[in-house]
Amino acid sequence: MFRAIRALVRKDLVMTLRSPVFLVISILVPALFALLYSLIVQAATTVPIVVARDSQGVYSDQFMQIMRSMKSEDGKAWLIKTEDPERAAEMYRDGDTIGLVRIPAGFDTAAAAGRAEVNLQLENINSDITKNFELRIEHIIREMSVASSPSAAVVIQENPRFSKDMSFQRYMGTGLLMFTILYAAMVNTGNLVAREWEDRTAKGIVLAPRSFTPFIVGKWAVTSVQTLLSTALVAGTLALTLDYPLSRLGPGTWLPMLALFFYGAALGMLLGVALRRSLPVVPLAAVLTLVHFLLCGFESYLRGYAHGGLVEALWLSTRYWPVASMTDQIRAAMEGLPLVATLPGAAGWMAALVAVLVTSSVWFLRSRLTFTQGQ
Amino acid sequence: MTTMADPASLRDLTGHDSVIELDRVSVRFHRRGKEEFVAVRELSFAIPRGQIFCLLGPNGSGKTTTINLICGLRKPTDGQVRVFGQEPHKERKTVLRNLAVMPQETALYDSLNARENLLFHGNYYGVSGDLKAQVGEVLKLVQLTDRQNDRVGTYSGGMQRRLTLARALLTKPQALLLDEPTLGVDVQSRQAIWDRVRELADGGMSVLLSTNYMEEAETLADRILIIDRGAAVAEGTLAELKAKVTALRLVLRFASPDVAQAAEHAMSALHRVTRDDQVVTVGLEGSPQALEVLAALQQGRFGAQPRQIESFELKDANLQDVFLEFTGRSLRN
Repeated sequence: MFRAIRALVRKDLVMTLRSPVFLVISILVPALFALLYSLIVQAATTVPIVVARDSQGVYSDQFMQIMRSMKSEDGKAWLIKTEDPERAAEMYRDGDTIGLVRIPAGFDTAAAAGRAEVNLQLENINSDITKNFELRIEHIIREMSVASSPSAAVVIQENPRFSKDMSFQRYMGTGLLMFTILYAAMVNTGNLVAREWEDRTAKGIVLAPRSFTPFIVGKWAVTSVQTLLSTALVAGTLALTLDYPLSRLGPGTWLPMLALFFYGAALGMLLGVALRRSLPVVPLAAVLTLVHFLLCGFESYLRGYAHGGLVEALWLSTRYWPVASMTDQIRAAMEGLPLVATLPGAAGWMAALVAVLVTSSVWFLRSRLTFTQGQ
Repeated sequence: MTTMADPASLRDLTGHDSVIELDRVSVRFHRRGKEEFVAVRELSFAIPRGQIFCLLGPNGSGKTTTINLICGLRKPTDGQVRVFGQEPHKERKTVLRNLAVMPQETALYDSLNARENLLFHGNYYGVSGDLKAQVGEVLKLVQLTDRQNDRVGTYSGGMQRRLTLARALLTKPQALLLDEPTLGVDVQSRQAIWDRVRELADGGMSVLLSTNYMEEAETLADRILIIDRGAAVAEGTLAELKAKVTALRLVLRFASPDVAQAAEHAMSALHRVTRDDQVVTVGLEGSPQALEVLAALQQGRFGAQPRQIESFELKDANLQDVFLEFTGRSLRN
């Protein structure tokens, strides 16, 4: 059996290396997606802004100090490009910045009387990112109020998913890594299987005096090499763009990553066997992976919109879909945090899903081996 | 794991005289919302060792389904298939160790060269012994040694078919299924394939040849089974099949299709009269009858004047005549 597996692996690797299109689809696409997404995430962390400071005094000093010191796990909240009112107005007018905070002339007097008011001007399309500006400014005003009257402060009690706050860049980086593993495993397995029908070579494989085991294991072995390449490329990209800490991808992250690989490969095998054409396998795998990424890899984003209806149902479903737990476990292991609570159940679910998908693939494989009228 | 059974062990394995046997085999498909489709209907035949047995039939007659039955890709709805004494759909692996298939499609990897294709095949099929030497041998057999390092995608159709034959032979099978082996192949490659197949059969290999090329069947087959709409319509050697139809034919070429049509109508009382455009073929019970018909034509008794006959010839029935007689002239889908 190992001889047959070796033969299949060697054949598929040689064919892959001789097919540049295949390399682009399977390896470069996830790298490009990760690159683009990681750049967008960076743009949303430290926001460049201009301040037109028309008031001088204790309160406006305090406002500026809070604004300068605001930060999260990902770094500073603001990059203040100028405080000069004329320069700020000019930059905003010229489109050099998308936001302008104006501290009006009477701000310090008004604040002393308990009515602090600042003006925020935005190139706004009411998107989440620009709304975030508003929230950040409100946060400064609230901080000022807390400083003057601590008893009036809102006490926020968070129920964190992880016992320690996590950098959004790392959170997103792991989501993108999950995307890459699933996509590469799915597309590569799907294509490797579908290609046997597309090249009309499936009959030669099927008529070998063997079971399907070498075929499945061989295809998965080739996929694992290709997925490893894709993952390494994406991890390198994330290290460059998001400062993703590759050294933290220790043994604790390997098992969940392996589980994601098996899941993706099993889904890809089912797609390949069911469709038997690589053309539909690629977009379908991309859509399926994006769905997984949005539901399970970027769950925090979805949570913000899950106010009822289908979105809430989708969000709730991620609790039971083991891909989310596996992705979170990679995050937890990277931060040195304990196992995520849902992991044991998710591991069982994951194993069951992989078994069901592989069984379905083999069933499909058997039921489609008739080759009536040629192939 | 061995892939080649020597003749002695094969006899032990089968205990049968025939290598391949089909006994009243039927295959029916149930298609949703449609009538049941019968692909193979009560088909029976047997192929002994060293025989080239030809399945001759029009498109969609059930030839490929029959091959799929023999190699275990399909289970018969009724009847029994036995290959080396085993039921292929139950003992697929055992059967496939001694049986090779040259499928209708070339089934080769275009981006690999001939040698790589064969090495993969040999390793995947578990060919024992010095595989590289055996690859060299089969490449030589199909005359592709010179092009062994070229990618198969650059090969002509004929070269690809020869390589497919080489691949089938690599496992040293006891029986070989050839599904349209010379489809789209040039004359030289066709002849090369025929020569190899005949040598293999002479060496004791049983060959099932599925084709709709008359010349191929006439040249190669020891026995021919004409199959139509899934059912056997005639079986025998070429001579036996010819004997089943009117062996002697008078072929008359008239000046126009209208004249030919009138002549065909006027001759309808004769034994067997067919027309193709302006050519009318009359089946004869013997050569004296040819003279009678020609005399009648000379006298203008068959709806045409002698000057309207452009030419005539007497010829023996060939396999195509036999085939058309049994399967008719209507087009198939």
